[in-house]
Amino acid sequence: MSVDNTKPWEHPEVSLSSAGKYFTGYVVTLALLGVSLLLVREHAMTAFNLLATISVLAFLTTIAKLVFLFHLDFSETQRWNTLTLMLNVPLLILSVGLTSWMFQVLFRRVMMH
Amino acid sequence: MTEVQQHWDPIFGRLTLSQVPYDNLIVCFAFFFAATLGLVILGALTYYRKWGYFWREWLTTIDHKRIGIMYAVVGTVMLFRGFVDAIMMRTQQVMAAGPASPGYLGAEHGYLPPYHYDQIYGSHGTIMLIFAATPLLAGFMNFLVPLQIGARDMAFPYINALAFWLTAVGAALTMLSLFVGDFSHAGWVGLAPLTELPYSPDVGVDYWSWAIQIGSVGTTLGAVNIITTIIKMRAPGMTWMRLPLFTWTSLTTNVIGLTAFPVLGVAIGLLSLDRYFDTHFYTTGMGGNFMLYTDLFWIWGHPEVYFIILPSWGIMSEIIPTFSQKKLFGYPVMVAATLSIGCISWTVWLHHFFTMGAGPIVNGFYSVATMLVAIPTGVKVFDWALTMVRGRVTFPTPMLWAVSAIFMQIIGGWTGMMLAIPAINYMTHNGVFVIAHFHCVVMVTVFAVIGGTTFWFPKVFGFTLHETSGKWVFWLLVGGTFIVFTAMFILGLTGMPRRLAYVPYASWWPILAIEELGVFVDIAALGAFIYQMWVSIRDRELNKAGRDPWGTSRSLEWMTHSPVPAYNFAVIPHVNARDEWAWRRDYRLHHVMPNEFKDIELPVNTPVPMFIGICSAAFGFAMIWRIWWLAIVSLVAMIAIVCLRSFGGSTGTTIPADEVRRLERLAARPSMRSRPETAIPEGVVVLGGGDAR
Repeated sequence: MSVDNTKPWEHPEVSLSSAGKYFTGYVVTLALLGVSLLLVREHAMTAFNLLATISVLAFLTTIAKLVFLFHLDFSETQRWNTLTLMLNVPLLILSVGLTSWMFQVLFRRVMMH
Repeated sequence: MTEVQQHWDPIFGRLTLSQVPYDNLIVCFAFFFAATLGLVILGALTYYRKWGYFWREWLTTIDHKRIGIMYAVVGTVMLFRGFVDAIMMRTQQVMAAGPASPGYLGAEHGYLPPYHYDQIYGSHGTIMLIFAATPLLAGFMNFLVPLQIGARDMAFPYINALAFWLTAVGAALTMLSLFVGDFSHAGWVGLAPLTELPYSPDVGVDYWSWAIQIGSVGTTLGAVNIITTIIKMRAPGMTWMRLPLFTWTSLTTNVIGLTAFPVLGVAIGLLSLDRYFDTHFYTTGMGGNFMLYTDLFWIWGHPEVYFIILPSWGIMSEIIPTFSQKKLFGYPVMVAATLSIGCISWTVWLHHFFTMGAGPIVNGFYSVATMLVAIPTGVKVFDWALTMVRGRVTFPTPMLWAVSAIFMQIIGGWTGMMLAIPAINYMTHNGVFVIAHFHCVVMVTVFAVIGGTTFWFPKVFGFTLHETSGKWVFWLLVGGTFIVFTAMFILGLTGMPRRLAYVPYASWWPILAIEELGVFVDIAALGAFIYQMWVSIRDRELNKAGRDPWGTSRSLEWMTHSPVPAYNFAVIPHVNARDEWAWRRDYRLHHVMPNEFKDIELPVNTPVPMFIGICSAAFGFAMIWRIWWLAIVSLVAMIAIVCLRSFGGSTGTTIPADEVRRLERLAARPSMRSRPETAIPEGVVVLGGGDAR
């Protein structure tokens, strides 16, 4: 997959990008984050529902960024990039999962019920 | 937007003349020292008419070797600053022990008022870890990785320069806090909620947070660059299991850097939102939780420990085989140990706050995970030891440093295992026992870095360092370190808390005095180091180094000339063995010079990364002082510069084959000039061709 350095446009990863995709990416992610901010500011739901909703919105934002801004998919060109990203999944599970576990135990022990 | 209670105006934000602490004698002294040194450097550049050279060869360079040297210079300057902080802290404690201790310069006890002392320990930690150790190791990785894998430069030379400038801006903002405003008094970790605006209304925390924020963007970019370089730019034949161990540790460390530094960015970003936009992420009540900050900080903080230690182990793994005249014992196990430490680094962070109250099962999990680190670390210690067994071991300065780093590693590791036990941790938490422990660990980095500097100095500058004074530096620094930290361990076991501006018990004074004595020995080591540099530079013509000044070195970087030419290798080598240079020496192929040369394409210098650095410095300064117009202007300027650069100009230059031949003939010693490629046995490829596997 080696491409001459003097012809950047022929590079398969560069040719994947398009103004439309970037624009959609910015609009979609900003909208999702804006909705989250609004929900939190207005205390629109109960605490648990709010947490669940913004977690889902955060997940959707991540997917939107990966698809529209990083152009990740399962095509031949991007297969390795997508696979490499998968290496981050255990880290995500470790950091978010262990943090949730720690704080759940902590709250049970030290907070007023 | 949060309103600050103090003075603010739209032009200068919070900045007023009264923020310059000209009434503080210590700061004035520091200012005159820095100003004099700066004037001497600027004067010398003008007098010797070196501004053009300085601009062309350094400020605008995107050559990985020069960027590596610049990283090392920034790291060394910051190391000295951090060392001065350490001297000041030790001196304050020895002067302020017991209620009868007198006070000077406006302090109740000792010579530093608590608010000033607090800023000094905050800046000592921040500087030593983020702006001294990290840039020094980044310098090593920048310089060595492309050479060790047989590449001409980094994968992204322009981003490499940008990463350097952003790191330098972080360091510069920290230094600036000395003379304009103040620095964080909340420790290098930024203890929440002390860092919140009501408890730290001054700009100190903002200096700390923006310096780290901007610097860590640089480190993240650098990590992307080094990972890509190692994966994509290896010379033909440089398979994974032939990579030098330093390159393996660089890869692991930068994977850690790439995954961990964004967490720091988020942790400090949320703090900035609290301070600037009135959110409540880290305040108790209002839905916030200050332990969330501690959690996020250490999710980065513990991997950062391995970010600092892994390349140091890589340096030791290069030095020890060279001076044992043997290949590294257990190479595959060393690689596995390096990678597994990288993985475990992500599962241990709660051991920094066992006392949070998370309960026995959570603490037990992190305790066991932390102890797991001892397995690969122990493997490494045994591998280094077994490399020396039955080797022809010699002890020039680099080897002395490497071997003493093993001992330091054992002391730091053992006390680390003690602290991994929550019961012990509860007793020593926030005590100087912890400080002594992690200083032993970071001293591994210091020893390895000084050893590595002595080892690769001739490769970088073309002449060896003065050996006798180098040994003086070694014995003085090791001796001083031993005195300081043995005394500190004793104080820790006695129960002394960390971060004390005033030590309540006069009975601790004798041990504090021993620590101070150790610091004096360390100062003598610094003196010896300056002497060593002076003698070495004075006698540089006498100590010129060839390609392999040690005669027993093993990896690819020793194949090229010292100092290394801009193109690294005239012809990209073909790698045949794990320790290619040792392999060539064994098969008498080390004198082989290429007969044919080709044009070499290299990236062209550009001032753009420096301009972006200047803009980001202005942006950081503006955010710290809340000068909104300057923040907007500098941010827009940064984006404009990036856009403008994408439009144009040539990014590459070519060195013609004839020029390469001429430079190679000049650099080669006479004995080598007449050794043509024909001396190579049939079936062996030593130069170029094919893809890296």
